[in-house]
Amino acid sequence: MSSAGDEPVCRICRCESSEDDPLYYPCKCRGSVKYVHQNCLITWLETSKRPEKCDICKTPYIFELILPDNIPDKLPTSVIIRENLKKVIKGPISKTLSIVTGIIFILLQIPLYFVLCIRFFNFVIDDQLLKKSLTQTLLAGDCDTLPYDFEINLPNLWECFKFSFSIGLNSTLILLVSLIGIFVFHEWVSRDSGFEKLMNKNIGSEKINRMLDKTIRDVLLNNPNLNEEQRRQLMNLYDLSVLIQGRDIAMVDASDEQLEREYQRLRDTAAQVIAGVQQIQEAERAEREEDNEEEVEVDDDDDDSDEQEEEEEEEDEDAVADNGHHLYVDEDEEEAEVVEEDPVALAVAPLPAPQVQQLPPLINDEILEDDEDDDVQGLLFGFQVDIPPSMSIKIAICADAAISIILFLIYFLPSLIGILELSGIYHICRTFLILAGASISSNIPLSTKIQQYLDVVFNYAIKPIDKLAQDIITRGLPSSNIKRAIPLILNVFIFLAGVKFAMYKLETSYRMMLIPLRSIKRNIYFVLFDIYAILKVYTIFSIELIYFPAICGFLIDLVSSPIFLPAENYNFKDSKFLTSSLFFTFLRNDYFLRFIIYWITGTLYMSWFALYVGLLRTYVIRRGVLFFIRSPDDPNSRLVHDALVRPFLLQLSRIALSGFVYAVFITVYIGVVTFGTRLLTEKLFPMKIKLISTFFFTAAYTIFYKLKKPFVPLVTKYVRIYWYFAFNYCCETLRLSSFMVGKDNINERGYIHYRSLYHRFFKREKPNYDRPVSAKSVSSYLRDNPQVNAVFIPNGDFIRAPDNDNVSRLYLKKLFVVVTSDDKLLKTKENQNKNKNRKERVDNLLGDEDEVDNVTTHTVVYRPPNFGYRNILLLCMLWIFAIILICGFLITANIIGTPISFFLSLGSKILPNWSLNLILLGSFSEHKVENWFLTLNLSSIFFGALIELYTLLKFDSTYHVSTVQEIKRGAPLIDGNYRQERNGLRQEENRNAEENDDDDDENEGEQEEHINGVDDNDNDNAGRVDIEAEVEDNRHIQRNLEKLSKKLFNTLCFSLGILIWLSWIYFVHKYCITAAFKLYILHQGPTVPSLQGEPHLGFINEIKAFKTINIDSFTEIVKETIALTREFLTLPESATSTEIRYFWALHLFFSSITIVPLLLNCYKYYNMDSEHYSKVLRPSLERVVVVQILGTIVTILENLIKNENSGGIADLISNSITGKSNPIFYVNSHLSLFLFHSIYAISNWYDEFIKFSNDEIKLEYYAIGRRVINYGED
Amino acid sequence: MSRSVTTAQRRLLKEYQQLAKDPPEGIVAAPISEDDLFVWECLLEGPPETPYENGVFQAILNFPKDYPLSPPTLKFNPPILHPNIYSNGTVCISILHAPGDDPLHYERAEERWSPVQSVEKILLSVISMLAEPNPESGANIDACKLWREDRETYNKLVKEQVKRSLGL
Repeated sequence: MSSAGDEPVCRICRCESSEDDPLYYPCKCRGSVKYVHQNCLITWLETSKRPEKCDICKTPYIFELILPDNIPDKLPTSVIIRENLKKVIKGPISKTLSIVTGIIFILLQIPLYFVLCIRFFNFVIDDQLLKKSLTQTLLAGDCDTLPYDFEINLPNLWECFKFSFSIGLNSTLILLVSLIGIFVFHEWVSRDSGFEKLMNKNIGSEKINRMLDKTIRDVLLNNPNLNEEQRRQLMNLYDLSVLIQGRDIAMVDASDEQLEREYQRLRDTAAQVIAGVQQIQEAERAEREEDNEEEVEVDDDDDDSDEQEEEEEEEDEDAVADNGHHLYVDEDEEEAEVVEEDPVALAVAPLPAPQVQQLPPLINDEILEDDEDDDVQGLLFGFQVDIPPSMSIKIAICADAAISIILFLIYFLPSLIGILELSGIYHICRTFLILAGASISSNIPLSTKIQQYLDVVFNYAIKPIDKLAQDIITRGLPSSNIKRAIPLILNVFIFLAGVKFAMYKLETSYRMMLIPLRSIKRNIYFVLFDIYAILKVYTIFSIELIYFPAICGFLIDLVSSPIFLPAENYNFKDSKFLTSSLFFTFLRNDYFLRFIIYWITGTLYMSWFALYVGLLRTYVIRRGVLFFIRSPDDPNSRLVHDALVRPFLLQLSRIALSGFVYAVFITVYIGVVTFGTRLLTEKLFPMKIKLISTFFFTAAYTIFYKLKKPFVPLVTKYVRIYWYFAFNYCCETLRLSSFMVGKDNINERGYIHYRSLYHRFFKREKPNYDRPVSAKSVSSYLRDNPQVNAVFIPNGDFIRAPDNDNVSRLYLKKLFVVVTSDDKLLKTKENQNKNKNRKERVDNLLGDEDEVDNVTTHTVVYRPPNFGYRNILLLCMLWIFAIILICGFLITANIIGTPISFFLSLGSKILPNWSLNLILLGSFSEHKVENWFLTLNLSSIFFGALIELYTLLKFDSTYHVSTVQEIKRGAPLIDGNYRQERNGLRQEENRNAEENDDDDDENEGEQEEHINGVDDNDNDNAGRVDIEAEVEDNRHIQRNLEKLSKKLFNTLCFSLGILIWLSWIYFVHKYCITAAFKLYILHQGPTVPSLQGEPHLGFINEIKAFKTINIDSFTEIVKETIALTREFLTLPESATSTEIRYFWALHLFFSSITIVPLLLNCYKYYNMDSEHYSKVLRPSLERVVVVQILGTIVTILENLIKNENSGGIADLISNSITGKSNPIFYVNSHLSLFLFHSIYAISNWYDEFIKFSNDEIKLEYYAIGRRVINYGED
Repeated sequence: MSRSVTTAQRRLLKEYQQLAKDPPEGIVAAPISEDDLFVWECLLEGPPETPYENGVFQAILNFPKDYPLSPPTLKFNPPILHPNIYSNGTVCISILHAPGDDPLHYERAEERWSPVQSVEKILLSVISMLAEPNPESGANIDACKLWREDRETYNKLVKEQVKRSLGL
């Protein structure tokens, strides 16, 4: 391989080493590519613009800087400033520009254009103006708040903008989502194997068709010396192929026997012909062997349907694979189209290409290295996605064009056509009605009563419809959305009917002729079928995933209303009890938002339910009990396939059934508890939830961020244990252990008969289970054995039950039959029905036959008498256990937490000022004292739950061994899984620890080793290993706990720090402001109207007051501040305006000083190494910002809830942001948000600055070149 | 060699010497004239057990002046039918693509040109490309389609070409 002389050569120029150009070996590569010249390498790196690492072995090259002799110790300040300025201009400013253009052209422009387009089309459709002029119409549309001839000025334009933008944003998003949805559904559906299969069923298989066609043609063409007989036979063969395709599906009902005979005959001839042809074609055959073999197989297909199906499947797969190739080219086109059509998607999605090009090479490297952390952090801020300004303009133009075209096609044209259709239908109906009416009135004598009824019908049903239709057709005033929607919907329905009709036509043509459709017809059918399939799958998915959860959410809203609604909205006396709690919020008329909230609630509920079922299935009950609920890891669950292939009505009925079950679960399981409790006592409800202040949110977030990781597995573990015992208890009581949990307890196989009521009542006697007595002989037995007071009488039977959740549907029909204990059938079941069989076969073709693995195993379990009732009873008992668990937890939490929140809220009584809303949970002030410990309060529950969880943690650490051993006896599964879980947890914690820069990193490796050692032990081995593992486990738990307590301590310190900080601000504010205002009012007298009678001094008032006072010089004030503070508590009665000024200055000073600790903190961190910074400060700052953003959202929501009848969401949000409605929130969230943002920005810049002024950068600045270092000589 | 010799010329010369000394099987490649080292003529043997078997295909390698920093281009003359060869004969293969060329990242960076590659490696890759076309990045759409859908015709056409290339 290497060069002949084996003298080392440069891998780039292939030259040898020379004195002034020596060879280096900078990477791990060996052999002929080991060496390289420095110059060659640098030239290559410069021209290729690749990261500085080896192309082959990926080793990064290391360079040494070549420095001039005399470099200064420090970079001159001017250089630092200049370079930093360069960076600032390069980075933030260009970024800002791109963000601004992005926002203007993409976020603002596109929705507005959308609305404009719609309005213009509306104008054409309506044939009238909504406002005075076209411009006004285009600007305002049907905005109600503006008059017909409004003036075009700034406030009105702002109004127009707000109105249009919210509509536009909504509709653009909906359009975008639906386009993407259609595309996704198309992909899913057309890639599904069922699609091809169904199509082949409806119009015949193209594959067979094409292949046979081709073969026969080939044979005919290539063998001109065939005789007449052979030709005839070939034609027969062609017919045969058609029969093969058509027979199984289309001709199921036709007379089979005749067909069979014909088929047999043809098959024989075919075999002969093929044999003949084979001989003739032998020469050419070698090349196409495979294909021909396939043909022969198809032709020789016998009448065994199963085999044929299999083969068909194979072919289908081939066809799909083929189609895959076909699709490839199409796909490209489609994708290109999508890119054109959905520029907004582009705008939303990060654009990798331009970003990579734009950023300087250093950052480029970072991105190429796939640093996930960085990516995540980048996502948090969203500013790392750069779209150059020109790009956003291009995107905007494309989007506008696409919007115009799409709207024209899907809105404008259908509307116009719909109007035409409507007028056609209208005229036909009208004529018909008139004719019918005339004929009826002339021919049939009507009684006056009937005539009266007819009049009523005419006046109240026909007339309004007539008027509406006429209005739409003649485009009468006033136009409304309903009027626009009717023709559109009509057109859609007519279109769909057309699709279905065309499909039907094509299908019938296939059924009549039994010749598979080809070329154009086939393509047309493909498109139609695609539309039909997408629609079908979409309908089913939307019902399952959107409406179904929403209905669940609605039901939950209904049953949870007793918890939240106050007595005036909710009582049983005025039968005001079946109401939605959301109805009494600002959402009363906003159905869309309500729907979304319902959907979210329902989805959460359903996922929670699924989690619960999963928990039961995996850890508690016997496998196979819940065979009727598909498990998520079922290999046979193919959602799209099922939705596509199964009949529509069947699926609907299934959905309806599961909906019914869910509804019953919600109304009975939850509703009975909530309604019942409310009915019994008014003390618990309504729950107080007035605590979503930003501070609370911040604290909650922080605490949960710190604690959620250890708590989640803990809670899971104990919930699992709880349900394990609950199930075992219930099953034992109901004698269902064998069936439910798979524990065959002999004692359960019968009941105990006591001698008398007395014995029955006390149950002191235990029967001898080894001597069962039959029910008939019990009285004689008792007579014979007077010392026995209780006897065991067995009853019930053994049945076969599925022992796996993935059991096949067909096999289920053979289960649940009575057997002996050693699995022999007691009765033979006759279910060999021919017709039924056939039907199943047809079903099979579409559904079950292609399940991935047909599990056909079963187990024998004991079934007590009254099995069904026992199961229902079991459900009831489980319900009671659920209530005990959930309500017990909540109420205990409430009771434990109440003192804490009460204590906290005492503060709000002492200091009733706005700042308290920051800190405290204020809801207690409204309570009556006698109820305070009973009324549910969310804050109490929160604190109580924390304490409870912490206690549980303590308990877990103390009693871990005993519980585990106890569980282990019953179900080893729990322990094993728990251990796994804990390992997972530990790993997670490791990650966490790395993130948080915990100090005890050294322990981690050790721990990991230990736990791995434990894992490697075989659990099935004897107890010694287990005990060792146990001890090992215990140690781990100890260590974990230590770590956890450390974390808790940190959290506590953190929270305490925040608390102190906030209270400090609070006190400073309070004293300064009140004192200042006292003095001010004293001084000015009651002449300032705005400040009179205002106990809660809002922020705006502060600012107003602040503006009225003039500050002479800040430095002067600072000088005297300390002196003034001393005088502060003993204010003279005759204070002057100068003092007021000083107090205001004091206020300002203290306010500003609150920033200093944060800045100091930043400074401290920045003096540390950059690694520390990136690990500690940046994430924490970012977390703070995230908290603030979330807090802001919560604040906005809070404001939304408070302002019941305000003018719409946009108004509310703008109010919340500008602080118009509630200055507290403004100060609370937005100022701090701003503060943190600016600190972040400053710290970033400072970071750059530091980076630049440190040594490395300095050296780089002065370096005159670099030298590559050989590998290993680092 | 009286003129000042550039890196590219030096390297090409080395490669030529190397190829002449130790020629790989089925490959013959040399500069058309000793004066211009930047244009080479190659003869490639069709890989066995493919429709290209027994064929001998002529191709021209054009080296840029900054070789080996940029890759050469390879053009079959006369053109041959292949999914990855344009109808004018230019070969489209990842090893011949400059590292910065591919904004859509279809090909991984390590698959593309680097000075570590050589004429020998290029030609070997081309031969393996003849044996296994890569329809994912087709250059000749018709050939792609034919190759995917109607392999028989494709093979037949290629065989005809082989016959023609041999002058039969």
